[in-house]
Amino acid sequence: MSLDIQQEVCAGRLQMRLAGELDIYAAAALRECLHQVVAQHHEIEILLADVSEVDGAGLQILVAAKNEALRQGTRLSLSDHSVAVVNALQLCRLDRFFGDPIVLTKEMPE
Amino acid sequence: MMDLDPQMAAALQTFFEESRDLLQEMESALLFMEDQGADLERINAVFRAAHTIKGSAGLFGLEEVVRFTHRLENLLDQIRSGTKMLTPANITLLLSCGDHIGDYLDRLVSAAPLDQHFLSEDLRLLAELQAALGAREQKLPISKENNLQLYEHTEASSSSVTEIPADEKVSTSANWHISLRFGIDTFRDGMDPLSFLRYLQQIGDITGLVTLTDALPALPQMDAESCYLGFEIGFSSVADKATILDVFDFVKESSVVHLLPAHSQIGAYLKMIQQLPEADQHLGEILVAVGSLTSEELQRALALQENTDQTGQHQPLGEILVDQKMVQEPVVQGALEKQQQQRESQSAERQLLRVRASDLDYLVDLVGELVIASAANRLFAGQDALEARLESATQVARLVEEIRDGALRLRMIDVSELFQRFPRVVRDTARTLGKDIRLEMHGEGTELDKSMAEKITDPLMHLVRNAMDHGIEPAEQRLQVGKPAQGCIALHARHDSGGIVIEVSDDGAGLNREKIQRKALEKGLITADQVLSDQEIYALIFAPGFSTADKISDISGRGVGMDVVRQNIESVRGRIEIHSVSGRGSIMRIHLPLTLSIIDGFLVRLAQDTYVIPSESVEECLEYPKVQGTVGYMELRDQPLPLLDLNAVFNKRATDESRRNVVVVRHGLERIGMVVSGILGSQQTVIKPLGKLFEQVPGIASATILGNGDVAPILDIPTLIQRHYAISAKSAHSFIH
Amino acid sequence: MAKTVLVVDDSASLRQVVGIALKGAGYNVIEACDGVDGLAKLAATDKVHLIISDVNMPNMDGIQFVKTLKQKPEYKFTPVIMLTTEAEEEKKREGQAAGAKAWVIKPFQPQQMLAAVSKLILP
Repeated sequence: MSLDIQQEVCAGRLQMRLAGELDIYAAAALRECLHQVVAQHHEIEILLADVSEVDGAGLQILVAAKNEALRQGTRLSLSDHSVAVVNALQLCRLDRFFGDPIVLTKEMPE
Repeated sequence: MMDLDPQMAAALQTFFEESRDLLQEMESALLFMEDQGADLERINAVFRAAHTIKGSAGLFGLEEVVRFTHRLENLLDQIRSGTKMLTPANITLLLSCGDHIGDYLDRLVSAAPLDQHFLSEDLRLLAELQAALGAREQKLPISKENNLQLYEHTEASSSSVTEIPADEKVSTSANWHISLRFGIDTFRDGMDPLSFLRYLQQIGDITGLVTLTDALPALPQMDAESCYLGFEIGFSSVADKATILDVFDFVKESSVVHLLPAHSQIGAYLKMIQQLPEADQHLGEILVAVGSLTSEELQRALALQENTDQTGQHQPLGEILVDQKMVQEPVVQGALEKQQQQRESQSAERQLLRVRASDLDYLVDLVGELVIASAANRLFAGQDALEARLESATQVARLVEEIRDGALRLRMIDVSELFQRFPRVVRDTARTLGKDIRLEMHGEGTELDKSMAEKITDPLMHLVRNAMDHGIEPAEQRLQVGKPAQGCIALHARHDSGGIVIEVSDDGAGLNREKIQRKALEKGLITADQVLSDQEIYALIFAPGFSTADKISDISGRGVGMDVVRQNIESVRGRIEIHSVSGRGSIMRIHLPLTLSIIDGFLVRLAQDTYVIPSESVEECLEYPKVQGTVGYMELRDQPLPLLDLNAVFNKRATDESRRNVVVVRHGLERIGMVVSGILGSQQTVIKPLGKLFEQVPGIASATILGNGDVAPILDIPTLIQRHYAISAKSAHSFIH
Repeated sequence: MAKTVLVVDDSASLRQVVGIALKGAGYNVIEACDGVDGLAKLAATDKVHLIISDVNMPNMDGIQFVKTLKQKPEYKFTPVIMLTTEAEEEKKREGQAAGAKAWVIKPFQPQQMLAAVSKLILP
């Protein structure tokens, strides 16, 4: 298992769908990818429904991407959070940093 | 002993078995080095054995073993590093230590108490180990407490983990403030900061947390595999300081960890703030955010800082981390690869599975039944005259035979396993006797049934001790007759016509024919006028109560004589014979069947019943001669062959005497022709224990179940031959007188 | 999905006890008896999240095992806990240089091992 990255441009907005493990093994490739798209698009939505694991390295990339997006005036949002993503964001109290609405489903912790 | 759940009890069992194997390995390596000199590989093996036993004993809380093996390991470590020599005295000490650990484990298994004898041996060996190590104070194994002492010690000297002492004005709450700056290689080291945070949640509550990303470079510049994360954490826990610090044990060398009681003296926070890379004001606000400081406390702290220290320049985080960057050691590949492939194949061979012996016995028993059923199946298929059916039955029979062979092989052990106890026995016995005797062992790769090996160990031990005591002459005597001063005992094993032969030989004086004869005469075992062959005289030493030793020594001749040896061997359907050349030495040769549970049987008919003769005894089958010479004898290749009419032995009334057969059987050097009503052919036969009914019938060893369900007795050939000779000797006697 | 831990040690009883402790906490556990076996088990397993390895083993010791392991891209960042004794400071350093950054000192209690593993990965 590793991280699968799929991109689709939809009405001028880039949808990036991540699936699998958002971890150190995927970090370098994901950074490269995000680095490119943040410069090229004005609006990016990262879909996280199929992310099964998140570690510090994965989280750190998302933070760096958000920072970079803010700097370049790109709208970057996280959506469709999986349980693993919500857990990691809440553990690090980073949910407010990203500021994206998190849809709580039943199996998600408060 | 301890109360354990079944899983742990099973693991403890594994530990006992494994430890015994390791102690045996240790002993073999030590004995080898005593003989051939020390080599690093074997020293390592001995070290590893002690090391593994210690490690596993700790898991079961066997503190005595841990304590003892720890000392042992220290000495071995010094020997390994060359600080101490592997002297003969040290080898003796190490052997005794191995025995002592074995003794302890045995006591544990049998729930025997650690009595005075054990304890005094324990003290003696510990003292000797101490002496061997030199007077230097030995560190005890590191327990959790010691671990922490060590930890705090390094901390004081050099590490980046700074613990700020809290003074007496500390708030009494169990709230802590944890400040973490993970090292840049944290991810590369396989560590995840998030895991540590999650673990913290297991030992307390994270009451407040701020993730610091100040050190995080911009996306284009960042190295995705470097860690730039830091955390300020408010933490509430019943755990003590040491336990909380312990959470970060694995990253303490590469990361910055501060732990201080929440709301502790302002000065402590100030010191921490100054040591951290972020701007003081920013950090202060974070501390307030996580609840470790109130804003009032922060204001006071910052005011304090302005008053006291104006030069609060901190070393940037980056610099610290670059200093601490780990250097990856390049791995030498290429040359190692070929070596590796070889190791991989070895490793595959070494993968063993431990199986309960009783489960295996059950399997072998079932396979035995299967062999019988398959034989019956083929018999019936043959009657149907349906070629296809016979063919398939034959194929099944062949597969069943393969399964049988495979199942039997599972029970087989290498004879070297049986022999491995002997180097120690010979060494210790030689010392006790004051003789210089070496042991040679041959026949590695010869396999025998495990239960047979167990039953044969004691008789072999006795034979070896006996040969050392009575066979090998004292050194002066040896030198006088031109032999080397060092005597030699040899153990040989080999396969021989469907059985196994194990020999114990010595290069001593050989058996003294006259002495044995004299002794046997004294004991009334023989009469003066009996003419006996060498073989017959040597066989006398197996008679009950026979002992030729001039004085009873500690080694052998303790009453448990050679008769017990012979009984033990015969109880596994084996036999022993002696070859001896005066002045050159003796050979005790033990013949054993391959296995105890299945034999190739030769089926014969007595009147209407089927009897089984073990095929290993059968030499040939003949027609009963029409013309008789001497009564009770027939001529076989110009030699007289004694005949034994089995119908008469078992009181059978044979109806048709016209087509009788003679089965020539042999036991040892004796040969006899058994007269039977008919020959039915050979078949695989599973030996079943005899019912009470048959136990008293002489000449029957056990029984088997035939394919048609009938019970067939298996003949005890050695007994039948002996009885025949005894009876004919008696009648010959009475005939002469 | 439960995380998988590979336990590499030449002592069967140690593997058994560590296995009991970790399985009880919800980890998957696979065992190997030495470095060569360990590499074979890794090759045969979909994903191993953490590796526990003894230093002193026949056939291929823990140091060589970790070095070889860390060369593989799929295990480059996988945490390794090295089992050492306090008498083996040198080995511990070698192990760390090879890439085993966590360690547990033998002899240890099963709970200590569980704690060490839990710090690095959750079940």
